Amino acid sequence: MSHLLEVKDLVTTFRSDGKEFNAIEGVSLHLDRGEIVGIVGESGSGKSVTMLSCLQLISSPGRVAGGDVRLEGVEGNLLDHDAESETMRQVRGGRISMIFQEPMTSLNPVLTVGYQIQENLMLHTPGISAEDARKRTVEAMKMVNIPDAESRFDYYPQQFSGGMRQRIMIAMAMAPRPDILIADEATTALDVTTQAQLLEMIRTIAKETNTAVIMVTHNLGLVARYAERIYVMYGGHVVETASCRKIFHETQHPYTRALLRAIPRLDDPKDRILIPIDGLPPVPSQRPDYCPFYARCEYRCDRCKEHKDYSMKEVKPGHFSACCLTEKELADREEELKHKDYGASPERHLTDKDCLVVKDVRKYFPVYKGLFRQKVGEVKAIEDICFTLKQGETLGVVGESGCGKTTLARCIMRMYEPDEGQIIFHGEDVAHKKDRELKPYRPQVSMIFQDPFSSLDPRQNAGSIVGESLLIHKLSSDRADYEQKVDDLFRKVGMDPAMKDRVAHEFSGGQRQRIGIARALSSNPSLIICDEPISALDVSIQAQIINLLEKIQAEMGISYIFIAHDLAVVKHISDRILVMYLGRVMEIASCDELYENPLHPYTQVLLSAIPVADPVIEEKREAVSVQGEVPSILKRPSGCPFHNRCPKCTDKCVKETPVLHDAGGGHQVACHFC
Amino acid sequence: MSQTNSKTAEQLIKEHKAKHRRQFLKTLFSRKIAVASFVIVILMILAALLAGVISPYDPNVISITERTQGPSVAHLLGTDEFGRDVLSRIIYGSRISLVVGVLAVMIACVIGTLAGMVAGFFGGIVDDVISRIAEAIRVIPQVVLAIALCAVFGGGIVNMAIILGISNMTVYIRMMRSQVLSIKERDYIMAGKLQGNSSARLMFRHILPNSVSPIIVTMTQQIGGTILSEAGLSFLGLGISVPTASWGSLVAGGRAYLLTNPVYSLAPGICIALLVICLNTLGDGVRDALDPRLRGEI
Amino acid sequence: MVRYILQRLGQTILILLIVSFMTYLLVDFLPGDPIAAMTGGEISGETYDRLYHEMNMDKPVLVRYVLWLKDAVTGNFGTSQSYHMPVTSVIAERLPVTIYLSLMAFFISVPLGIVFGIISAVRRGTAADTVVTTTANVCCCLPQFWLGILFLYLLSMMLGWLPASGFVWPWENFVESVRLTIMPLLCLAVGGIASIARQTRSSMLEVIRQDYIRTAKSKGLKEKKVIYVHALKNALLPVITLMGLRLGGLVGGSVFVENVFVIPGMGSLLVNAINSLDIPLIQGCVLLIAAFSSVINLITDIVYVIVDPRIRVA
Repeated sequence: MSHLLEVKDLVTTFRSDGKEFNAIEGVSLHLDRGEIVGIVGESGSGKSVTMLSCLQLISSPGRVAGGDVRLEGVEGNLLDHDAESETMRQVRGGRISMIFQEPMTSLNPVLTVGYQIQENLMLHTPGISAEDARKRTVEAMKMVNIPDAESRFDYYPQQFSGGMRQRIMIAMAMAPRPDILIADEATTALDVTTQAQLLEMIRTIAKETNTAVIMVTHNLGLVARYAERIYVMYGGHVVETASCRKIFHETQHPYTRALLRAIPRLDDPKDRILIPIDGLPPVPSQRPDYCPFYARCEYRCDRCKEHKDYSMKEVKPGHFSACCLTEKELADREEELKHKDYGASPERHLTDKDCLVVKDVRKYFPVYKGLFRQKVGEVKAIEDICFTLKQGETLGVVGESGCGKTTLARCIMRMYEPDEGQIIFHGEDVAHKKDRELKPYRPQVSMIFQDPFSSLDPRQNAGSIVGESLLIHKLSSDRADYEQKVDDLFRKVGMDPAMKDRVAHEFSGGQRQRIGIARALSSNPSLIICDEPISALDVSIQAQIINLLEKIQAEMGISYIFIAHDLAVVKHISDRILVMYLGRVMEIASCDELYENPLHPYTQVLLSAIPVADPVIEEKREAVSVQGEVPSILKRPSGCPFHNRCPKCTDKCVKETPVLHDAGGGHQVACHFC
Repeated sequence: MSQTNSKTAEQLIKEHKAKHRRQFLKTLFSRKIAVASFVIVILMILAALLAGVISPYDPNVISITERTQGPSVAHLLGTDEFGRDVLSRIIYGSRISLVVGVLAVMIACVIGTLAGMVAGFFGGIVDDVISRIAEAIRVIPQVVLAIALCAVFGGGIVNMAIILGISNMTVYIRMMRSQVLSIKERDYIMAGKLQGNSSARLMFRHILPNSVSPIIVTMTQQIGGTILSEAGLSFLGLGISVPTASWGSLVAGGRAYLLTNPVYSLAPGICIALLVICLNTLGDGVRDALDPRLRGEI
Repeated sequence: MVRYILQRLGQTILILLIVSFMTYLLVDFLPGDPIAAMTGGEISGETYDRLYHEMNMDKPVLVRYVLWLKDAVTGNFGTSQSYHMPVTSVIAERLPVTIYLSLMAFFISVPLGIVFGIISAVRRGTAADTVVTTTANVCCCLPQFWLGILFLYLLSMMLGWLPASGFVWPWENFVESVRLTIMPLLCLAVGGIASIARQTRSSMLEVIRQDYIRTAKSKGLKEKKVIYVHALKNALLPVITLMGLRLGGLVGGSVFVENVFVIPGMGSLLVNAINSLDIPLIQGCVLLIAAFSSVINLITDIVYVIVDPRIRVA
C-alpha cells in the first residue's frame, strides 16, 4: 500500500565542536490523505528536525545524512532532488506547507500580510493572474476568520495580535491547497483559549479540504484531542506509534508509560501522585548506541544494552514499539512497579490562621507620552482583587495573557505599591509601607520564577546565590553556620551540596529551578509566590519539581501562591483556585468544586479549552466555544470584562461590573447570573 | 542527581574553567589572521617598551649634515629636516600611540560605564539628564569635539588621553545603559531586589559582573579608533607637541619633503594603519570568542 | 506621524540647547584672556575695563550664555577676532564648500557600499566575500590624512595627473573643479564605502538567520527572491542609521582632507580658529556643525519611520 508521504530511515546530523552527531537516527513514518497525525516528544527529541529534514530546510551546521522520503506524485526520493531544485520548491509550500511556533517572528515585518499570502499562492498556482490571486488571498483570510479581510490585505504583521498572526500563517500555508500541513508547535506560544480555537479551525479546514495534518507538539493533551494516529519520539528515535486510543490505553513503550504517569491531568483525583522520570533526556552528542531511554527507564534489564538495533517492531496489529522487552516482561515488571512505594502524597498542615489577606487591591500604570512625559492614560492592570490565604494552603492563580497575575504577584511582593487596597500579611498591612519599613517583611515572602535561565545570576556560583539572603538579613551566626545552612538548603531541594561552587549555566533547567527554590527557602519564609515555576521545563522534569514543592510545603508549612496558565498543573497542586481575566477576579473556588461546577462562563471556556491526555475522556467532553481573542488590556471592555465574548451577555453586563460574591460554600464568582 | 563527592566536583569545576579558557583562546586564534594580528601587536608593544635598545639612533639628536635624506644603509627610513633618524622616531612614536590609546580607552570606559549604569538603573530624571548630555556630545562629530577640547586642555600625553576619553565616552554610556536595561528585566535582579539588596550592591555585584563581556568587547573595538584619532590630532598639530615624535606629527612633518624622502611621511602612516588593523582584527576575534551563542552556551 | 516629527524636532532643539551651553562653557574655560586676544593686548586699563563691561565679563556665566544665545538665535555669533568680520559671514563662505564635498562623497559611497555589502553577504565564504571584507576592514583603518598624502604623492607628484591643492566650484571651471575634487572625494568616500559595506553584510547575515526567512524558504521561494525581496528590505534598515551617522560626521570629518588639499572649508576654518583661539568663531563652528549633524539625525529618523513599517504602523 502506498502512502501520501512515506519517510524511511531518515538520518540528520549536526556538527558541533568539530564532531558530528545524529540529531535523528533512522526515523520512519508515513501519512495518508486527510489524516491528522501527532508527533509528540520533549525538546531535543528530534521532532522538528524530522519535519525540516523532509523539506530539506535544515541549515548548516546540520545536514540530512540519509534516508528515503517519498511523496505521492513525485518521482523518486525527495532527498535526491537538490534543495534548490524546481521539484523541491514546488513541494515546499505547494504540496507540503508548514506553520512554525513563533507567530511574532515568522512573518516578514516589512511586507504586508496580503503580499506574503499572495506570493505563496502565485508561486504554486500556475497561470493564476495577480487579480485572481488577490481574490483567493482574501478568501483564505476569510477562511481563517480574519475580520475585514479585504481591508486588512495591506496590513503589516505587527498590526495583528499573536493569535491573528498565526491565523495568517495558516491562511498562507493553506492558500495554495497543499496536501500536507505541518504545524510545528504552532499554538504553543498562544493563550489556551486561542489555542483551542485555532486547532479546532485547522481540523475543520483540513477535513473539508482533505488535507493531511502533522501536529508536532510536546503536549500530550493536544494530540489526545486532535490526532488520529500518534508517533512518540525520544532521543532522535520514534519509540512508539499506534492509533491515538491505543497509545493512551494500551501503552507499550516504557517511555510513553512513564510520561503518562508523570503529567498531571485536569481530571485527576486530588490525591494522585505524580511519578517523575528520573534524570535528564540524553544530549544528542552523548547518546548511547542502545536504547536512548535506558538510563531513565524503570523497566530496563541487561538485555537492553546489547540490543543495538533500535528500530520499531509490530507488537500488536498496527501498534509498533521500539522496546526490546516482550509483552510478558513488560507486564510482569508493571506488576512489580505497582507495589513499589512512591510515597504517599505528603501530609499537609492546613491551619486556620490567615497568612495573607488581600483586600480591594488596585494597581494602574500611568501611560506617558511626548517630550515632557504628560500622563495620557492608564493601564488598568488589576482592580478589586480580594482573597485570603491560610497558612499552609496553596492558592492557584490562573488566567491568560494580560490577566494581571504577574502584577498581582509583584504587588504582594511589594515590587509595586498598589494604588489602593490592603495586603495584610500575618495581621499587618504592608500595602503602603515604605521601602525601609519593608525590611522585616522581605525575608518572610519569597518568589520562585518562571525562567530558570534568567532567574539565576550567571556570574555567581550556586552557593552564593542560595546564601545571599542569609547574608543580607544576617540569618547566620558565623562562617561555619552559613556553610552549614547553605548545605542544608541544597539537600532540602535534592541537590548535592558539593555542587555549590558551580555557576548557573553548568546546571540543567530542572537543577536551576531547584537552586531557585533553595534560594526562596533560604530566608525561611512563610509565603512563597511561584510564578509559572514549571512551564519552562520539559514534561518529564515538571513532575520532579511539583513533587519537590509539595514535599517542602508539607515539611515547612509554607503557603504558596501558585501562578500558572496550565490549569491541570494548578489543579494538581492547589487547594483553591482563583481565575483572573483582564485584571479582575472572575471566580474563586476549591479545586474540585471549580472543576466539577464551574460557574463563570469564562471559567467554563477555560476548562473546556484545556485538553486531557486521554482520547476517551476527550470524546465525551463537551466543547464550550468562545468567540474572539483575549483583548489587549488597554482595550478592556466596560462592565464585565468578559461581556464581549460571553454567550450569556446582556445589557446589564455591558453597563455594570459584576462584584465578586459568594455563591455558596465558599465558591465566589463575579457574574450577574450566578 | 549525579552523586559526585566534593573532591571530584572541585576538579570538575577546575576542568570546566580551564576548558572555557582554552575554548576562548581557541576561538580567538582559530583564524590565522587573528594570530598574525596578535603577533604584530605584541611586537609593536615590545618595540615601544624596548625603544631605547632597538632604536639605531637617539630620536631627538639633530644632525645638520644629514638633513632630509632618502633611505640609506645608515638610515633605513632616511632622515628628517633636522637630520634625525626617521626609523628611531617611528619606534619612539609607538609609545605615544599605545599609551594614549590605552589610557583614553580606560578613561572612557570607567566614566562611560558608570554613567551608563547609573542612567539605566535609576531611570527617570537621572537617565534623562545623562542621556541628553550624552546625546548632545554625540551630535558633535568626534573629530570636531576632540579638536575643540584640544583648545581647552592643550596637548600632552595625559591631556590627549583625557580629550579622547571624553569624546569616546558616549559609546560606553549607550552600551552600558542598554545592557543594564536588559539585565534589569531578568528575574535574578528581581530576586536580588526582593531579597533586600541595596541598589549599589545590585549594580556592582550583580549587574556589573554580568556586563563584563560587552565592556571588554567595546574596549577592544574602540582602541583602534582611539589611536587613529590621536594620530589625527597630532597630524593637525593639536596633539603631542614637538620635539616628541608621534606618528601623526611625523606624517605631518614629512609632508613638505615628499619629493626628497616620501618614506618620512608615508612610513609612520603605515604603522598607524597596521596597528589599528591588527587591533580591530583582534577586537573582532575577542567579540566572536566572548559571544556565548558561538560558544554554544546558554 | 506629524506628531512624531514634531516630537523629534522638539528633542533636537533641546539637544542643540545643551550643545550650545556646553560649547559656551567649554570656551569659557579656555586659557587666556579673550579681551587681550581680541585687541592684541596693548590697551589701557580703562579701555580694558570698558570692554570687560561691554562683553558682560562681569556677569555670571549663565547670564552671559543667555545673552550670547539671544544673539546666536538671530544668526549673530559675534565678530571673528582673527578674520575681523562677522562669524556668520566667515562661515557662510566656507560651509558650502564642505557641504558640497560631503554630499558628493556620500552619494558615491552609499550605492557602492551597499552593492559590495550585498555581494559579500550573498557569496558568503567565497573569494569575493574574502576580498570585499578584507579590503573593507583595511580601508576602515586607514588614516584619512595619510591616505590624502599618499594620493598626493602618487597621483600628483609622481604621475602629475592631478593638481595638488585648491578648490574651484564646478560652475567656475568645470574641468579644473573635477580634477581638484577627485582626490579629496576618494579620501572621503573610501571609509564610507568600507563601513557601509561592512554594515550591509553583517545586517544581511543577521536577517538571513531570522524565522521569517525560514518561512519564506518553506514556501518554496527561489533563493534569489528570498534574498532580494524578503531579506534585503529588512537588512537595509540599519544601514539607513549608519548613512545618517556618516553624513553627519562628514562635515566635521573633512578636517583632514581640507587640511591636506588646502581646501577652504569648515574643517580648516575650525583648526584655524582653535590655533588662534578665536572664541566666537570656535563657538560658531562647533554649534553649526552640531546643528548640521542633528538635522541629519532628524532626517534619518524621519526617513526611518517612512520606510520601516514596524515603526510606522506600530
